[in-house]
Amino acid sequence: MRHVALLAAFVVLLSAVTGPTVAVVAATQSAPATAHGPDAALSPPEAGPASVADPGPEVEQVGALAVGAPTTNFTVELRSDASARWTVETRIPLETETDRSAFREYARAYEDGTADGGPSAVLFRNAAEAASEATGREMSVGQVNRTATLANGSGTLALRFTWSGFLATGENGTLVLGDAFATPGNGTWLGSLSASQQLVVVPPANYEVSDVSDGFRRSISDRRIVVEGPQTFSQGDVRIAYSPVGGSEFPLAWVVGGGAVLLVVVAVVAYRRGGLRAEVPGLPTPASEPDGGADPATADAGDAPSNGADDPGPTTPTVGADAGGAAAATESGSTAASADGASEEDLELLSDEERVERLLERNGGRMRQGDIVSGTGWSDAKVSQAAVGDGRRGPHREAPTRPREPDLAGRRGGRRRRRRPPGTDPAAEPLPRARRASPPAVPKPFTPAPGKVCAMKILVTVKEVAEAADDFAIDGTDIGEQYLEYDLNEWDDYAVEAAVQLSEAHDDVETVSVTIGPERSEETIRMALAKGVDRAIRVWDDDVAAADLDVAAKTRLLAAVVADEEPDLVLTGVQAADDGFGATGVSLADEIGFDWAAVVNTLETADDLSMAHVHRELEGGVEELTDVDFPAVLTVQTGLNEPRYASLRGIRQAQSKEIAEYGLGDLGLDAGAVASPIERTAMYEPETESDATYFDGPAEEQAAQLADVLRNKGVVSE
Amino acid sequence: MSDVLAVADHRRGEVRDVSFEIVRAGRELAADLGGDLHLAVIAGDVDAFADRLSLAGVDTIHTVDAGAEFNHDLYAGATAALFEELAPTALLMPNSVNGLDYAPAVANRLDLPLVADAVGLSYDGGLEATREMYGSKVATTVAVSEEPFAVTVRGGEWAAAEDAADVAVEPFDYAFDEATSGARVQGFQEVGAGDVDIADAEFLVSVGRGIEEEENLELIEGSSRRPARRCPPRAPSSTTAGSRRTGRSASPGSR
Repeated sequence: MRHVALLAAFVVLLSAVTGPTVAVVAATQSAPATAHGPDAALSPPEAGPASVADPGPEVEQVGALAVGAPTTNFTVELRSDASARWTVETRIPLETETDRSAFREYARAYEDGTADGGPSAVLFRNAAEAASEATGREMSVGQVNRTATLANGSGTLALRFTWSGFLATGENGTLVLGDAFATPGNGTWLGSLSASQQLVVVPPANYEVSDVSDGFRRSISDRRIVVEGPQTFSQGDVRIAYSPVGGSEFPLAWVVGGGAVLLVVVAVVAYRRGGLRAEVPGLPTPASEPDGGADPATADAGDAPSNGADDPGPTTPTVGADAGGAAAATESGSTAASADGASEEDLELLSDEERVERLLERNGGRMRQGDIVSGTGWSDAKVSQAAVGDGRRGPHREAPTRPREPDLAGRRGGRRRRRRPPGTDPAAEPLPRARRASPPAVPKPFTPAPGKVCAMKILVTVKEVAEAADDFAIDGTDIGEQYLEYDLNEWDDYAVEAAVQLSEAHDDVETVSVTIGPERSEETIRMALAKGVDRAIRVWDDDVAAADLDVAAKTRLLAAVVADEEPDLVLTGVQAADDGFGATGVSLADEIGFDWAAVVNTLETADDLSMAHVHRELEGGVEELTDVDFPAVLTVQTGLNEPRYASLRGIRQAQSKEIAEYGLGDLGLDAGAVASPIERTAMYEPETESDATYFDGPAEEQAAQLADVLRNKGVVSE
Repeated sequence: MSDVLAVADHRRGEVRDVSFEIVRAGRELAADLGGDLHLAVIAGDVDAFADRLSLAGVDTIHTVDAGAEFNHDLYAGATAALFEELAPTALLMPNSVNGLDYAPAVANRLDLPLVADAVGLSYDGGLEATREMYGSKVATTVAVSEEPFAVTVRGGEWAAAEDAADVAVEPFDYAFDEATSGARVQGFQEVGAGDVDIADAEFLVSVGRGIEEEENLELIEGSSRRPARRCPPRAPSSTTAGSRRTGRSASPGSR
C-alpha cells in the first residue's frame, strides 16, 4: 500500500514539475497576449509540488514533502551524421530514508517502463513525428534506454535516446540545429524551459558553432551551449549552425540572425502520456487554435482551482481562497491560466494535467504517509488508518460535474448498489478527451452488453492483510493494532495480475474483486481497481465484524458471492500473509462445485477459455502439469506473473469504479453463516533458541574471539 | 471414535518425509485421544508405500489402489470415503503443496472445522493446535470446539517416526477414473535445473537490499564458497525460521 501511495507521489511530483511547461507551451502558442506572462507562469516552486495537494485536516499536521524540487537537464549531443543523442535526466533530492526507499520502488518500475511519470520516450517520438512532418525530413527516435539511480541523497531518472535526422544539413557541410523543434503550422513542441530545467547542446565532434540566433538566452561553457530556464520559445527562436572545423567563414560569430532563423531547443515536454499530442497541430485539438477556453492546456490548467471553487465542501475555502497564491507557487503554469478565468470547467476538456492535479488532491493525505510517519512518530499503521476513508468522500475530491454517488458510510446491508459499469456513463467518462489523451497501451474500459454476453467473468479474491512491525507487542490474542500495517495480500496481488492479464488478452472479460473486510480495506481494494479490476465487492457487516472467520465461514460468504456473480473463473492467492491458512480457495471450489488447482505458478488458458493448462509448484523444484476445466478456482502462487504497478491512469480510474458493499442479508445469509468452532485462545512470541555472545575489548581482541568461535563451531576451517 | 486418520504423502514413487512426521503427530494425538492411528496410502504403488510406512505407532494402514500419482479428486474422494468408513475424531493431512490441493476440499465436504498448518497439537477434552501467524513472528493457540475435526500439519515440525513394525494393511476400495476428473495431471517438470533445493542446502546465505546490484552477488558467492566445512545444524531461531519454516521450502511461502 505504502509504495503505491509513494509511487503516486512521485508520479505526481514529476507531472507537476513538468506539466506546467506544456501548459505554457500551449498558452504561448494560442494566446500569447494573455495576462499570464511567462515569468509569472514559470516562477520557481517555493513550497514544492506537494503543497498542491489536498489541504485536508490530516495534511495540516505535516510539513511539505521531504522530497525536494526535481531538476531536469536535457543534454543533446549532436553528431556529424545529423543525429542527436539525447539524455534527459531528472534529479530529485530525497531527504529521508522513506523517500529513498520509495524512490527505489519507483526506480524499478521506471526502468521496466511501467512507471508513470519521469522522462518518457513517447513524448519525444511524438515530437519527432511532428517535427518530421513540419520539416519534411525523415526522423526517428530509437536506442531508448532508461535508468534510475540513487546516489548522494538524490534520485536520478535518465532517459537516453537517439534522434535521427535531428539536424538539417546546410551549404558547405554545415549542420543546423533548429527545425527539429518545429511542429506543423509554425508551432514548436519546445515552448519553454522552466526554472528547474536546462538544455545543453554539445557540438558534433570536429564542428564548431558558426551562427547562433538571438531568440534565446544562453551561455557557453566548454563549447557547449547552455540554455537555462525559465524562458519561453516560439518557433524559430532557437537556431544554431555548426561548421566543420576550419571550414567556416564565420567562426564563432555569435551574430543574431535578425530573428530569421533561430535556434533551438528546449524543453520539454510534459512527461505525461499523450501530453504532447495535445500540443501538436493536426491532432484533434490543435494547440494553435486561438480559443483559450477550448484549449485543452488552458482548460487543464484552470481545473484545479475551479475544482475547489465548485465544490461546497468544508475544505473549499482553503483551496479557493488560495487559488492564486499557494497554487501559483507550486503549479505555476496552471495557476496562471486558471486565474485568468478559464474556470469554466468542462469535463470533456479536462486534460491529463488537470486529472493529475485532481489525483494529487485525492492522494494528498496518502502521499505524505512517509512524512507523517517521520514527522509525528506515528506508526505506519496508524497513519494508514488515519488516511483511510479519505479517498472518496472528501467533497472536494469528487469531480464537480461528475454525478455524486450516495454516501456509503452509513449503508450496511440492505439494498445493494448497482452502478453502471465504468465506461458506460457518459458524464463520468469524457470520451473525446480520453481518446485524444490515450496512448494505445491503455486498456479499453469494459463495456458489457445486455444480458450475460461476457466471454468470461473472473472473480478474484483480494484480502487486506495485516503485517506486524518489527517491534511489536501482543495485546490479548493479537498484535496490538498500532503495530499492524495493512496491505494487499502478496499472493492476491498475483491473482489480480492474472485476472487483469486475462481481461486484456481477451475481449469481453470482466474482472470483479471480492474482499471480506472492513471499510479500511477499501484502500486496498482501490489498489486492485487501479491495477485494472473492473469493479469490486466488499462483504462486511456488524455480524461479520464480530465473528472470528474460519475457512468454512469464508467459504460460505464467498460461495454466496459466487452464486450471485456466476463467474467462470475464480482466482485466489494461495494463502494470506497474516493467518496463512492457505485453504479458502480449494474449500470454496469444493463448495461451489468448480474444478480447481492449488499453488499455480504457470497459467495458460485455452483460446476458447474452456480450460487452463497450469503448473503447480511442488516442493523441491518440481512442477506438476495439470489441465483444469473451467469453471474453476485457481489458487495463485507468487511468481505466476509480475504484478504491475498501478498506473497513474489506473489510480485515477479506480476512483470512479464501483465498490459494492454486501452484508450477510444481501447474500441470503444470517449470522449463523459466520459462526466458527475455531477460536484463537492465545498468542505469544515463540522462544528463540539462539543465544547471543557479546565480545568486549579492542577490535583486534574481539576479532580474535569471533574467529575462535567460528573455528570452534566449524563454520570455517583451520 | 477417538481414532485418528492420517493421510500419507508421496510423489513419483517416493514416500515424502512429511509422511513419517505425520505418523508421529498422529500417534501422539491418538495417545491423547485414547484411540488408534489409521494411515491412508492413496495411489501409486500402495503396497510398497505401505511396506515403507509400516512403523511403530501405526495401527492400521489403508491402501487405496487407484491412480498412479496424486490427483486431488482422488485424494479428496478417497479420504472422505475412508473418513466415513472409519469415523475418526481427528483427520490429519499434510500441509504440503498436495495437501493444500485436497485437504480444504475434504474438510468442506465433510463439514469439518479445519485448522491448517499446525505446528503443534494436543488434546485434553478438546483439540488445541499451535500455529504461527504474521510470517512466524508469533505463535498462536487455537481451540476447536467441535468434533470431529481436520488438521493439516506443517512438515519439519515433528520428528519422523522411524521404527519399523508389523502393521496390518487393509485395501480400501475406491473407484476412480481420472479421465472424469476436472483436473488431470499431465506430468511433471523439473525446474531450475542446477538450482539448489533450499530444503537440502547445507547452509543458506540470505542477501538483502544492501547488496544493491545483482552484479554484487558475486561478492557473496565468493565468500560462501570460502567456508570449507559444514555449518553445524542449528536450531532455527525465529529469524531463520521465517524462511525455513513458513517458507515450506520451495512451497507457498517462498519467493
